[in-house]
Amino acid sequence: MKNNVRRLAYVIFTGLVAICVYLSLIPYYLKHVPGGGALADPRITARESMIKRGSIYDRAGRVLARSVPQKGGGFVREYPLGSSAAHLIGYYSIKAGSAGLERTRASVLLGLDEGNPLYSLLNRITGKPGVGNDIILTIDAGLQQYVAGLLNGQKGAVVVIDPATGAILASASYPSFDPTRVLDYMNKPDSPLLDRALQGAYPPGSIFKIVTAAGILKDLPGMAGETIHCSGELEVNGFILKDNAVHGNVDFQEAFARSCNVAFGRYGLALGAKNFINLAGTFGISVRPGFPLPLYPGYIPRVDELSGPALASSAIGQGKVLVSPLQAALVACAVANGGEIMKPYLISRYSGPGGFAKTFRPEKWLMPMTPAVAGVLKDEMIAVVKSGTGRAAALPGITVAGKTGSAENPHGKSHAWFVGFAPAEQPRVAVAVVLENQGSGGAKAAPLAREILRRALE
Amino acid sequence: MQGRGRERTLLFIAFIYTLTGGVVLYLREPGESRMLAIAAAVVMFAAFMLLSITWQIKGVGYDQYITPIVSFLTGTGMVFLIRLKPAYGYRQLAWLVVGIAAFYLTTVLVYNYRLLADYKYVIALTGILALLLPIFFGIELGGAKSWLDLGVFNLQPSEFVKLLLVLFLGGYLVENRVLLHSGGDKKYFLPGLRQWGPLLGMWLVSLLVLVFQRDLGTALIYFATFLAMLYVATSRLLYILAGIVMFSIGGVAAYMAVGHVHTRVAIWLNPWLSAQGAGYQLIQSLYAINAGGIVGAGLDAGFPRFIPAVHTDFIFSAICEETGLFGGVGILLVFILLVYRGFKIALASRDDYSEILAAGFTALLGLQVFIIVAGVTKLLPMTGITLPFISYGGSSLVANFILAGMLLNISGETLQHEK
Repeated sequence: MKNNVRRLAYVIFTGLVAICVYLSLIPYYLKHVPGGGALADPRITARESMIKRGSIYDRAGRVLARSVPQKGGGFVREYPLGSSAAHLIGYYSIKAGSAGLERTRASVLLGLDEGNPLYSLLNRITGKPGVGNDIILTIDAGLQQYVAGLLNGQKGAVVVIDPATGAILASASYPSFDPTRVLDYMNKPDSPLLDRALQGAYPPGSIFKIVTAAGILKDLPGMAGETIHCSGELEVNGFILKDNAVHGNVDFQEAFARSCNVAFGRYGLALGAKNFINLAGTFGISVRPGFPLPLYPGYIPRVDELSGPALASSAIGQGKVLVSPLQAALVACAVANGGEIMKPYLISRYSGPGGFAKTFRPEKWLMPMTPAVAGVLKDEMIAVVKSGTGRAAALPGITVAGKTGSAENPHGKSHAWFVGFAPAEQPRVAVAVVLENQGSGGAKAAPLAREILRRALE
Repeated sequence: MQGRGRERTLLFIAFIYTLTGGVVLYLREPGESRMLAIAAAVVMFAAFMLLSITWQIKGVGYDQYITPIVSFLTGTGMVFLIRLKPAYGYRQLAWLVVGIAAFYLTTVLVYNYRLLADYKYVIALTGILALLLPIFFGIELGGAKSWLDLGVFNLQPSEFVKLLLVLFLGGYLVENRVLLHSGGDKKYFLPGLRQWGPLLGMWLVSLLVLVFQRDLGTALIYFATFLAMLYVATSRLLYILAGIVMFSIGGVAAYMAVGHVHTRVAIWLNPWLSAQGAGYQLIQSLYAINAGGIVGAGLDAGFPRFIPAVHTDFIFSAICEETGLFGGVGILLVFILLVYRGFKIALASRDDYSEILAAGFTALLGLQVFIIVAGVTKLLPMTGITLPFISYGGSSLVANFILAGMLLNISGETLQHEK
């Protein structure tokens, strides 16, 4: 009988030990079980709602997002700028989930990633609700609101950057949404939740001539001295590239100021496909900078897609070339900043409880041209505003440099573009404006850019 | 006079352990209800130390590990109950006092437990009556109809019937083990009705519990304990295999006929199909264990409140969430220690009755732990029984204290013989 007891004991021990082993396998089971997503673990949101998310501030300390305690525990997010900065800040709520910085920097705001580890451990032991870190942006809340106001009612986007540092001063997209009522905006026409400024994919049109011009000045300076005859159209391998006007005999400066497609089509063909693609890359087209929000990287066709006519139309910003408004602003930045593009950045600082602070410094990013080339292009862009297509952007007493674009697209009238910077002698602000299907850049986008530059330089 | 220094050292460690839990609870949320865990620690420590001293003066040779282990488990239970449902903490503290009294009374009144062997049929009759009561007068809680409403508190007779079952089977099997064992040396032997009778009888009792009380867990415990004791008495695997087949048949029949059982099995097979409904509880239990990770969220820092009925059947999941894999395995190891001491007592005993009783009680305890923990972790279908000494439930706590007292009685006999 004693042996039977022993055997029984072994059986029961085995069972209990088996459970110990099995316990450690549960996380693996949950990770791999089919249908496991049928029920979200309520712990994740519960833990989040116990932590007071950090606030988001603009460069001057104006609140862009903050947590307000609610009756009965938990917090609710408040967005003082409302729809004006909704695409950048994003939203966070238990019902709608999260987007924007609220999503991509959630771990910072919740104090999970960054922060003083000792402080959070102490909080855990004493059971105090966790406190997240604050995020300070490079945005100027006043300018942001002003820009969003100007854009109101016109589909499009505006990006304002300090060319010397890469700091984003404002970035607006219309249509926008109320970050506290996100569910009302889902599946609406015109995609109000899409951030057109950072994720919009637009044909750049003539503003891309800045890129092509930089390539000519850099690689084929001799061609810049030649005169080209513009008969209103350019024939490439049997395809006809139409110009907006008959410009007659134009030199490089005139071609740029009057935005002559024939001349720039020639320039593109002269540069060659490979060279042209590399050139676009040096301006950041199809390159991803590290950025706290999702960006559209732009599109430049591959070498085998750039046959003669495609290359000529790409050189004037048509064809398959696509850029985001942010990238367009960075092209202006390159000229404004002596040929160097500073890495665009949106977050200037984290600061948290327990004295935690982390500052982000401006970083150099790309060098698409020499200061000399940038100097020549700057003069060209000044001429565009002074006497060319961009006269509507001129400001009294301030030299504005810029380039217009009217980008043909399959959705109707041309997109109106303007990129520029001011004051041209010592640029402090670079801007890109795109207005969807509004026609001429000089007539529609340039006046808007003027107001933005005026406001930004106040 | 035998020293009981080891017992008291261990009791002190269990006290510090429970006290720490109580102090942490109090610091995180000062208040009267949270003081309760500290009170429970003090009450338990004082009572058990008093018992230890009493036993030393009496010179009884009780096992020195069982009381500290019970103290450790009960302390864990009290701390977690007060953390989870303070209202239940008050009641459980009252039951704890009753349980300790029952523990002491068992060691005093049933000291000559061998006499119980003569009353085995009285015990069996009492047990069956106690089982029948809830069928006619019972109330339903959590899908099972196994409680008696006694006004001030609810009583679950089936918890006590477990003990009666072991006592009856102990007496019966010792008396009939030669008969049951007959033919055991022949290779192919089919015993007659007299041998199969008890198996059939127990099977019917289990089915009765299953069908009328809709209590799958208790039925399983009864039958498994019976098979364990039958094996110890006869060493015939044939009985065990037949028993498993019979129980399976009964189980399948219940699965077809009893909606409650059907649901439990369906949840076990795939809780995700009814994630928002019937499967919710089990999924939350798994999430809780998953959330605990290796070292847990920390006492009072997890979210076990997402598990419905966490204070009874699913308390083990709450422990896993807040103390992690270490805590969960730790609790299981303490149970393993308790089971080890139980079997040790069985092996050291001098007579068959003591041996089979000790083995029976120990198997009852070990199987119960296995079945409930396997249930909340989805290893087996969830059956709705308590985790001994830890879950909320007065009947269960008192019954388990009596069980521990019986093990002490048997160990005392054994060790006195050894002198």
